[in-house]
Amino acid sequence: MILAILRVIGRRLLAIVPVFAVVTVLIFGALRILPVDPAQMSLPPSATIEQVEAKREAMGLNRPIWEQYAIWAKGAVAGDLGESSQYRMSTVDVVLERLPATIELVVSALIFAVCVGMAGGLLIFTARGTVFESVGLVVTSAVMALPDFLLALLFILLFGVLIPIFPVNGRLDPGMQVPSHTGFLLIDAMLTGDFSIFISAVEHIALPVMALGLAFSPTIVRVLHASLINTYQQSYILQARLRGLNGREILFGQALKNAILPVVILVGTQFGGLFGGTLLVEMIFSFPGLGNLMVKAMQLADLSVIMAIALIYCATTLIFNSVADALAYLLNPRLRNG
Amino acid sequence: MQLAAASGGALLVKPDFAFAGEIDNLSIAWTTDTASWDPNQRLSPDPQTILKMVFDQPIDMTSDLKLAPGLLTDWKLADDAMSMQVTLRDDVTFSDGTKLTADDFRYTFFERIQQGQEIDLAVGFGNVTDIEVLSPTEAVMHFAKPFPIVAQWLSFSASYIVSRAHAEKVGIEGMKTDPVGTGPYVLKEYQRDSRIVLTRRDDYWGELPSAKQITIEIIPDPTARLAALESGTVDIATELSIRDVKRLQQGGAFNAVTNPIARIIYITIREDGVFADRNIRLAAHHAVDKALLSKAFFGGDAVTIDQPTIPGMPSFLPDFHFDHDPDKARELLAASGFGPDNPVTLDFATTNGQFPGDYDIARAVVTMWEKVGIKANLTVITESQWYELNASGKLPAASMFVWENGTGDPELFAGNMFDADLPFATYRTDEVTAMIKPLLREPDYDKRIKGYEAFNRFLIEEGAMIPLLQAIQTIGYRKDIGITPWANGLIRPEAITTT
Amino acid sequence: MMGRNYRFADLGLFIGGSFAALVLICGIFAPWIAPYHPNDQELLYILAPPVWAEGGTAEHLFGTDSLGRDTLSRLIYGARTAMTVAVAASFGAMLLGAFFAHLAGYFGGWVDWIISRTVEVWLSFPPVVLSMLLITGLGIGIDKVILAIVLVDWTRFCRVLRSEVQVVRGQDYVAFARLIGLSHPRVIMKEIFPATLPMLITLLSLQMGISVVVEAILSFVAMGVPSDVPAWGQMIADARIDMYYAPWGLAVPIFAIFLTVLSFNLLGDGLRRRLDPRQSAERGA
Repeated sequence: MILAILRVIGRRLLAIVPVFAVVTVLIFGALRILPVDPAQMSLPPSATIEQVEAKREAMGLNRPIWEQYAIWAKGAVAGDLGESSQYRMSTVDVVLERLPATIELVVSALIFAVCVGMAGGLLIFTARGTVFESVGLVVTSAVMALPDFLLALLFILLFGVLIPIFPVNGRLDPGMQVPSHTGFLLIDAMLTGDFSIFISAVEHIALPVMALGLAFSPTIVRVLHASLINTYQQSYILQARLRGLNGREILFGQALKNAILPVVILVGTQFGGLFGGTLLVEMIFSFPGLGNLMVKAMQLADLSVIMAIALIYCATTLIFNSVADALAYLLNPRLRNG
Repeated sequence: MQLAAASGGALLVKPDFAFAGEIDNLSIAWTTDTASWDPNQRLSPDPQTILKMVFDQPIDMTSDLKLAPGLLTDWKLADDAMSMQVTLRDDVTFSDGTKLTADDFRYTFFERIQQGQEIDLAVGFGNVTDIEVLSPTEAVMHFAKPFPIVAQWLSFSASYIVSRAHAEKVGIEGMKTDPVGTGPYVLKEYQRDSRIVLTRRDDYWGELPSAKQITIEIIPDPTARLAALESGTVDIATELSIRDVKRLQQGGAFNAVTNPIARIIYITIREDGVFADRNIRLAAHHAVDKALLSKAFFGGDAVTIDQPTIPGMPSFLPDFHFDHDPDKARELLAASGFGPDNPVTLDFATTNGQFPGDYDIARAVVTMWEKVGIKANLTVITESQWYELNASGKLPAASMFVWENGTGDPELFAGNMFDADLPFATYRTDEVTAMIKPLLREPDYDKRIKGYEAFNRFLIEEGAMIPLLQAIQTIGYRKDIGITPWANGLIRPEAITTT
Repeated sequence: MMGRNYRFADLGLFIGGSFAALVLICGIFAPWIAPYHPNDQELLYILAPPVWAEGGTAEHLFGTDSLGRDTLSRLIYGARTAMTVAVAASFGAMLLGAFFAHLAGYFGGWVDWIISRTVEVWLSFPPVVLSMLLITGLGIGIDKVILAIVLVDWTRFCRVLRSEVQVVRGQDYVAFARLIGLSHPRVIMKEIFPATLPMLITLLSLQMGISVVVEAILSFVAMGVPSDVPAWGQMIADARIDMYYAPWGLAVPIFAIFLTVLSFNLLGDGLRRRLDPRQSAERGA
């Protein structure tokens, strides 16, 4: 079975490479249409026209577009993603600095969304046939109408203006020292052994995680709910009931395993949406991650940073799709046997 | 002012601060991070506060923009302004323990630029042909063209002395991440665009500031900055909206000040296209109600200006006014065949969030222009796009701009704004060039200032620009802290005390 | 039990449909409904509170913004922007997506392969970021916003409809139609399309809500419509700066977006329950 899983993942990962290439070509092309001169931007304002021209030559901007792409691709494979025109520093350094923060945010939001979504779906399902089911579905619809950036703003209004419980910016209280081991603040904070630091890190990440996660959860609720309804129509549920198992045992013992499959697939395919959400959520909460960096890079047309972050989004989305596929394979008895 | 410009006195003009108590950690919410830790790299005004905590300039500035000795104890400009002799302090060490010498001065202001390093310091000091080192504390600067305001430049943004030994050890790339300066603080912890932690070094050559540690939280969002202050996360927050300032002033736990700084907000004008017609240029100026802009967006605290400098600075003409006169504007437009029913159309660019009120002012001006018969298409650009558009000649006819001049000297106001050789000029005519060239090399201080007075008047009467307001810096802070604001907009740790 | 569910679903349809219609009407008749011109500035009366808060007047029911412009008028004209973008973009995405979905599902083989791979490439990227990137390249403007949404969201239609088309294609009556010699286009239009229509309408309604959100996001980051066109996203961006002083200026456009999206979602859900023959068959059982 391990071999089979590896084969599934392997096949998926192989499929990633061409997709990757196509996406990068598209974005590269789209960005080159920009009426922006990266050479001008990475030099001091006093640069003369000759200096700008020389820089253009050095950056290879005068060559045909496919040649530029080839240069970039060759560098990218070797790990060199050019220089950021904003910071005049290596793009890889700039981006890698921000990456752990966003990963931490996205993973926490995902966990939050899955917990809330599953709980919601289960609750609404167990209330089926009663008025609470309808109420639950309406509430779910309502939350679904609130995209992550609106939720983020609402949280700031509620917890920043009305009842200040959570901090609304950054990752830590000032004055707190956290030596960086993994780059993931929650883990590093735990490693310091100082509980107050950990609490501060959690407090700061709470609102962004809730905004992102809550925006993601209604789809999980709905899919799980619909999936459970579907599953309960299968014959083996009736058999289990006849065998004398009670409601809870049936739900958690038999049904959930099979009902969870669409949820897994959903999470895998929608994962890209979470990253899209980080852009605005990070911006609104001044959270120093990739999303914030990407918004600034787009406003300032820092092309190498845009490409680098676009690559990362693409990669994570594809990887997560593969993981979801593998999980689906694991969980679905039919796929396994067939 | 004349003496201070020509030669620096050993007498300190440093005001004395009540050194009350020590602060363990002072947290400041700031708007932008520095692009890198190489202090000579960028002229942008906002990060200068951060850089000045770690580095020093040769010449310092008092809170009201008078030159004062910094790392230089004395400076003497030659009569023809082609050279300047400087004397450095002999008791200064960098944070790595090495001593500061004139050799570092030469490296910073000459060799770095000569080597072609990509630093903005070249804008001011590209004129230096050599720096003769006479002794570890004496040097002579030589210039290709007369440089009357070299002392002002030495007190300005990006003019910090760096250590040659350190630069040669870590290389140009290393300078961006590993700062070694002579300032009162050393970098302890750094998360780009998020947080900076600085600790005080007790072997600093000057007066020790009261904060043992300074934490700078980079919070670009103004509401988040205010939230950080109100929740106690930070002790000081800058660039809050004027309404928040008023609110804080009325509350109990916080104080807030509006500090007029050496920064002006104005509208740039191109000499070609729509604005080739002088009537339209002047009409655009007459149409703007600057007092209303100040009242609406700055609570009336921003001073309106009709010339490219600020009150109290050399070359400012106290009796020169340009009236808000919409009727005159309509008259001028009618003379050129335009009016509210037949408006002249032009493109107008603004930034949004670059400085407080930029977008609001731009939109308000659009409406004011509409009333007299100018229809403006407003687009939003970023600061770097402005430079790019200007360099390629594609800048819209009008644009919002903010001009920082921490020295107050007119050359760094009108001089730099209209010098066709610099990337800031939008209005380029032969007349302007003819007036400005002699001023740039005039060694006699009084003659130079008189020349700039005439130049400023000429610019406004020709409609070469539309000055609007003197910018104000807003600072909110905890009530048990005292802050003395600086007219160049820097937050100086030496000026912060506990009360 | 079933009866109550039935009525609830209809209630959702009714409420959603009514509010959506209200927003559309605001959009169409904005110049007649709005009390002021949305760009009229009153610089001496900025950030006025709404009528129900302290200091509010009936002159400006929802108060004014940081330039003294009437919030209610901007809300109504913002509805016009939102609806223009939503209708154009949703129909555009639907046409593009449905076209390719029918091609892929009906013909199968390499046509399906190419289209599916293209959709897959598109979907391997967060949609919002893709829209922003397109705008970065295309520039701002209402037509560019519509184009950006169409070019990103057609994949959503395509993917869902393709499976629908495949299911319908496998039906007997379709095989029969081919057997008696009807051409491909006729079969698609006459047999397949009517069966996929309910799903299409549902997706269209949901897409309206999504388009409103994307337009708001783009206006929020100043990558949407030009600054002299009122938009809810821009109202939020402006109001955020003064939110401690005038929280209602921020809350009102947020609620506008929320209620609009909710109503389109309810409408879409309700339509799905009504129009989908399979679902109604289940209901009856």
